[in-house]
This record gives sequence, structure tokens and C-alpha cells, in this order.
Amino acid sequence: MAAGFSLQDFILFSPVILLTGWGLLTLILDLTVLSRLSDTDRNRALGLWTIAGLVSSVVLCQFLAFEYVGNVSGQDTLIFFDTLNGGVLYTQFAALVLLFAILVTCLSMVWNFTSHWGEYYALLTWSAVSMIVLIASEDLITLFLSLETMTICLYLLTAMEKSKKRSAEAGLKYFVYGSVSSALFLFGLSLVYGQTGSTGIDMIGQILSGAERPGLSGNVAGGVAVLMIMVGFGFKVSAVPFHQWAPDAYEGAPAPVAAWLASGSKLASLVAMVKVMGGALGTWSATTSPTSPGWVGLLALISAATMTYGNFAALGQTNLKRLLAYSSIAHAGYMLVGVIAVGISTRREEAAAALFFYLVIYGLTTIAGFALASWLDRDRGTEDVDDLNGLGRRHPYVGVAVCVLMLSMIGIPPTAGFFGKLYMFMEALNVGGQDKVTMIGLVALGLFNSVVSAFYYVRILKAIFLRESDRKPLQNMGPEVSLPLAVGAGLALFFGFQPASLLEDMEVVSRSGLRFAERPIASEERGVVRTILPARTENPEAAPAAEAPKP
Amino acid sequence: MVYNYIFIGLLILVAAAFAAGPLVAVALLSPKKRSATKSETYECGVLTVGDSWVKFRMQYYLYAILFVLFDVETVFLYPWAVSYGGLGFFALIEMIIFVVMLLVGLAYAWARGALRWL
Repeated sequence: MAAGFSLQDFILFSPVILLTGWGLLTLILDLTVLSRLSDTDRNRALGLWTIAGLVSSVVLCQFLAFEYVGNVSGQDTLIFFDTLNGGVLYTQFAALVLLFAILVTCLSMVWNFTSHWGEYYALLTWSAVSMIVLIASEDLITLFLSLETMTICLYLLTAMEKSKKRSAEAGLKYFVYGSVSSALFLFGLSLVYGQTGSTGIDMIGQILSGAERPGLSGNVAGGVAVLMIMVGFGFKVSAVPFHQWAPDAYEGAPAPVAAWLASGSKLASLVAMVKVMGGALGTWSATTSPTSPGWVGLLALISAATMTYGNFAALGQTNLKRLLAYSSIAHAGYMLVGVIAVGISTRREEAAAALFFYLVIYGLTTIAGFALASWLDRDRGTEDVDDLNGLGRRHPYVGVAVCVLMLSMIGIPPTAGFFGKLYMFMEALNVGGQDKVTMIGLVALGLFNSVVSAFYYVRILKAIFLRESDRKPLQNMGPEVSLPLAVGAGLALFFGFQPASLLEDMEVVSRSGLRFAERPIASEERGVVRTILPARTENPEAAPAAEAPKP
Repeated sequence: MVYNYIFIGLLILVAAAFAAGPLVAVALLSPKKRSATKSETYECGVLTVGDSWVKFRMQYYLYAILFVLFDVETVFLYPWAVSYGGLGFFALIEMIIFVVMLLVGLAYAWARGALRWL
């Protein structure tokens, strides 16, 4: 494919362009046609308008996938000077992000937490746009830009609940942590650029694996770059040492925004992380000498700390949103095991597919969990776990739905959460050599943590089914709450019985969308593996030049 | 190789000494006679009123942000105008889209009442 762009690039990216304009129109509508209406009416009107935009974007996306992308076999095409993915990865994940956005928009219509509805829905639309661009980005500059656009929208959304001081506090905390980590992240990216002379993710992967000494050993600048990039991604996926913002931001933010932070933002960041760590820096993953553990060692530590801390900290929480925040930290820990697997597994595409499967199920169940929190917020103004007391007797269907959700989050069979964990941990064990020990340890820790997590998830079920209600009863939930709850629980159950349908889809995505660099080769097996790999750049020093080959 | 860094190290040392020297010398040598007049913000001139933690109008921020908006627009417009000859028609469309988006931003601020000085 030649560098440059054509009309078809614009056509392929039309769902994103449409949504960008839709956000602007939302603002204009709010100020002109709808300015006379009350807050409640504006919320409803703009919410429906946003859903209309998101749905039409999904339809357009699927049409394009059918019309253009479906014909292309093999690797996804790159568009706009090879900076963005224009294939299956983009269309599938765009549809997923938009599905999450639709559910979050539904939740936003539950109650009036702000009066700036035009701004709220415009920012929600634009954050969805930037998440799609982030997932599609194939270039470090595009990746960083879209990451920043996304987080700036999210800072503002977090601080949207004007009647509550802790919302502004949450927004400020998120902003301060976020801007520092972004700065470090950018510094890391610049070091990678300095070492390779390229910003293209695929190109960096090729250049690094073509270098004289692949791997990180003795490469101080590379080590610093990996550390800094890990700070950036660690913040975005809320991994321990960089997780402190998450519980405060999730608790302070309005429940729909917290749902959006936990689902869409995490989905987009983890896909970007898989691309950067697995694709661009794949060669730096594993042990190449005793002095350099590669990023796998670092990530294994972070992952172990994240899941253990998240689960144990969640045990003591009484606030539902805070509990879900710690649970999302714990899930980030599990998902980092998946990222490591993408780095060193012998079946990298399948490992990525298993991770994506987990991400989708996690996103859906988390949004449904926050639907419950929105409902409590609307009718009670608080969102304690005790507020759920006696819910099962009064609303039996809700009780069943929450039961499915919690079982899925723990990872108990007939639900999709079980298959997510099963696939991801099985793929994580497909590694050879000395990394096997690390991975077995991590998977064992993951399973142990699942048992710990059962304790606090079951506490929610206990409140719903076994306790007597002592507070004023909740009103009927209305379609805005029940739709996300039903979609989350329904899909968690559906993919529990039909996991292959989603997994196969994700395998197609990761096979055609992800470009992995050649894996680092431990010295003893070097001779064997080299022969079966495709020919590399003859002269690694010349690779940054424009005519460097593409696979 | 390492030899070259010695000079950088020396430079850092000299710079630090140059910055710290006067401070240390003042602390050691100067006479210390404190009085209420000396601790004022401005020793001569108009008397200060209140303390420095005063509230002032949010609108200053709004004006500053709107100013930055157009500042950035100009920053992008200059290089675009200089190299327009080599960019062609497509660059014109791109710049029109950019300017229109900024105009929507201005219209939004205007309609929200950000330009009205209360």
C-alpha cells in the first residue's frame, strides 16, 4: 500500500467524521432549538439525539465493513499515510465502542446530574470518537493525540456533576494524575522514536527486530522508554502504582461517566497497549540476557500487584461505585496477564483474541453494574451496597440480572466471564522456556484472586437477596436503567453459552488487525527460528528511510 | 569520552556555586534589623489593602481562553498562508474546516454569554 490518502480513506472513516460533526450539532441544538426547554426535557431530547447519532454511526460502520473491508482478505489496510487502521480491527472495535457509548448515553438520561446537557453529550460523543481513533491508530503520534483527546473529554465529564463537590474534586485529581502520566508517556514515546527513527508502530517493530542485538539488554534508553510508556498505559488502565486516581474518580464522577471510564476508556487503552507493547516493542518483551528481564518482567510485577491490591482493597468497600472501581482495578490486573501473553506467547494472535474477549465481557458487565449505581443515585442520592438491601424481593428480575453479572465478574461457568478468564489464562500458559514459570505463577495468582473477588461480589448478592430493606423503596427503574442492565446481563449469559461466536470474531480481528514484530529469540534457539521467519531488512541502519519494505 | 563530561560536571558545580554563593554571603554578612515597614510588600508607594488571596472574576479566564483560541488559529494560519502555493486546493478546504470549527466555538461562547462583561 502506498503512503498517502485517497477518497476511500475518507469514506472508510466517515462514521468517525459523522460523529465529530454530530457532537458540534449537539452543542448548536442545545443553544438554539432546545434552549427554552427544562433540564429534564433537554436531557431526554439530547440523549435521544446522541443515541440516534451513535446508532447511525454503527450502521454506517457495519455497512462499510460489509462493503469495503469484507473483500480484503489477510491484513487490514492502513489509511491516511499509514497512520490509521482501516480494516476489520477498526470497524469491529468502533462498533463495540459505540455500543458501550449507547448504553452509557441511556444511563445519562436516568437523572439530572448537570444542567449542561449540550456540553455533556457533545463531550461523550467526542470521547467515543477519540477512542475509535485510538484503537485504529497505527502511528505513535496519532496514538498520543487521540489518547489526549480522550482523556481531556473524560476529565471534563468526570467533573460534570456540579451539585456535588466531590465530582469537581474527582475531575481535578484525574486531571493532575493524567497530565503527569501523559507527559511521561510522551517522553517514553520520544525515546522510542530516538532509537528507531520512526513513529509507525509496525515500522518500529521491524526496525527493532532487525537491529544487531534485539532485546533490551544493555539498552538503557530503551529501558527508560519502556518504563515511561508503562507509566502512561498503567495510568490509563488503572494498574497499581498508578491506580490512586481510580477509586476517587469513579466515586466522584456521575455513575454513567464512571461506567464510561471503566468500559470505553479501558477498552481503547488496552487495545492501544497491545499494539504498542506487542507490536512495536514486541522485541523488547522477553529475557534476552540475565541483566535484562525485558518488559514482561516489569509487567508481570505490575499485573500481580494490581490484581492482588484491587481485590483485597475491594473487600472493605461499602460504596457500590468504589467497590466497582476496585473491581475494575483487579480486572485490569487480569487483563495485563493477557497483555504479557500477547508479548511472549507462542500463539500471539489467539492470546490477543482471548484478551479482547475478556475486555468486551468486562466492559458490558461493568456498564451494567454502574447502571445499578445510577439507579441508586437517582432515587436515593447515595450508592451504598446497603442501599441494595431487599432489592431481590421487590424487583426479582433485577435480582436475577445482577446475579448473572456478579457470577460473570467472578468467573463462574454458565456466564461469559468464566470463558473470558479460561481463554485468557489458557493462552497465557502457551509460552516456552523460562517465562513458563512466571506465567504459571501469574495464572495461579489470578485464580487465587478470583476466589478472593467472589467474597465482595457475593456480598452484593447477599444484600439483594438475604437482607431486609430498611430504607425507602426504589422507584421503578425505567427503560434507561433496565436496557443497559438487560443488555449487560443478557450478553454475559449469551456469550456464556455461545463463547465461540465472539471469540472467533475477535480472532479474525486480531489476525488481520494486529501486526506483531518478530519475537525476541533466546540465544540457544536462535538458529532454528531464524530460518522460518520472513526475510528482514538487509541493512537495519537504513531502515528509517522512506523506502523501507512493508510486509 | 568520559573526559568530555568532566567539563559539564565542572560547569554544573560552578553554576550552583554562583547561584548559592550570594545567598550564603547575605545570610552570613548582612545586618538583621526587622521592622513592620520593612516586611511590607512595597516599602514605599501606595499602602497595600487586604491580603494577596483575593477572589477575582472568572471572566478573565474566559477572555484568556478565547484569546488563546484565536492565537492558536493565527499560529496555524501563518505557515499555511506562506506555503499555500505548494499545498493546493485541498489545503484550502482543510483550513476552511478548521476555521469553521473555531467559529462554531466562538459562536458557542458568544451564545453562552461569555463575551458579556457583567
